[in-house]
Amino acid sequence: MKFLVVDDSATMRRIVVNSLQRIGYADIVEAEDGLDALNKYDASIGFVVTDWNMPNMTGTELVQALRQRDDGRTVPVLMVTARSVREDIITALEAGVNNYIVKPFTPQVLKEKIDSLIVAPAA
Amino acid sequence: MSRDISHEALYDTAATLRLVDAELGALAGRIAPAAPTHAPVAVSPTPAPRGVESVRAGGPVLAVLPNLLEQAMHEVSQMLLSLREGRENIRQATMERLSSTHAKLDEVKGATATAATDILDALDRSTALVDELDAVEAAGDTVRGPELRNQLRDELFTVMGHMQFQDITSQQILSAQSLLGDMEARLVQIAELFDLEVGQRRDDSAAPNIHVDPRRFDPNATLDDASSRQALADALVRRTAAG
Repeated sequence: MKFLVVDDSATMRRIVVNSLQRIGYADIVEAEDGLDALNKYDASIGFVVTDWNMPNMTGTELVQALRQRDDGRTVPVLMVTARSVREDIITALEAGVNNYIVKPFTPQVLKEKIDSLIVAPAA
Repeated sequence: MSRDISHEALYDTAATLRLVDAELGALAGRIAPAAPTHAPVAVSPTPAPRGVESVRAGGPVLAVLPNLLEQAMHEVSQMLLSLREGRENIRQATMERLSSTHAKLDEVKGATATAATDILDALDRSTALVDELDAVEAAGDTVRGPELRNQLRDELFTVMGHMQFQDITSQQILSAQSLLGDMEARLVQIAELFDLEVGQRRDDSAAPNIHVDPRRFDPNATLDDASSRQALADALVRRTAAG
């Protein structure tokens, strides 16, 4: 499965990519903000892991844009973000995010959330 | 002698009255430029100032002057009150923002210290595992070796996980920068009330403009209490899935 990892922090992208590799996912594309991700997204992407706060296009804007595309309507989207107030989480879920991880996260949590979306496909 | 004194007093009084009258005339002209003109100056060897005639005639200038002065004083008092209130509001807002900025920078300081400690602890454990691995391999133990290597990988991966502090503290610093930039912009606006060129001088200076894209940071970003925050997210995800 090909993953699209989106974060404006090179450090966080590296951590997420390493975490994915550690749990067995090696086919990974990186993007540095929502706009970059939208340009790199295609039907071969099977899973999106995105941050929220990014320049040019935020994570929620990216998800909304993906859900408007035929090839992005059902792709599982996992948001990994520092934002953790109730209203923000609800906003993300309403935008089309399927699951939500709060930073700082552990590899176990990342695996658990990915498994929940792959084993039980996104609604 | 008393006659000399009285003459002198009268002379001084007349001179004083003329001076006061000249001042009042000038003041009345500024306050009430449309004040009606006075009656023609009475015949006199030297023309009397306008105000003198109005004093003699009880004309309109002096009559309205007290009211005008009182009104002007009232307006100035109101302006002073507004300025004081505005200054107090600015002071409070500035103090709140400075306090918030200090708090964020304190959080950064704490987060980096905690992350540094966690990383050093993980490196200590990793070093111990390497030592144990050396000993195990020297002893020819082929079972324990792979276990230790896995533990070592886990510890090193933990070190990587601790580096997440950089993303959080970066957002906290951006938030502090944004607050400072906002304060600077407000202070420039206020300074421009008194000196229109302040803003231009600031733009021409080498000092960087502090404007942070608000999309780049979460003002509430924190490393604290991650498990509780994750529990909230999990509950809301479950509720959404169920609904």
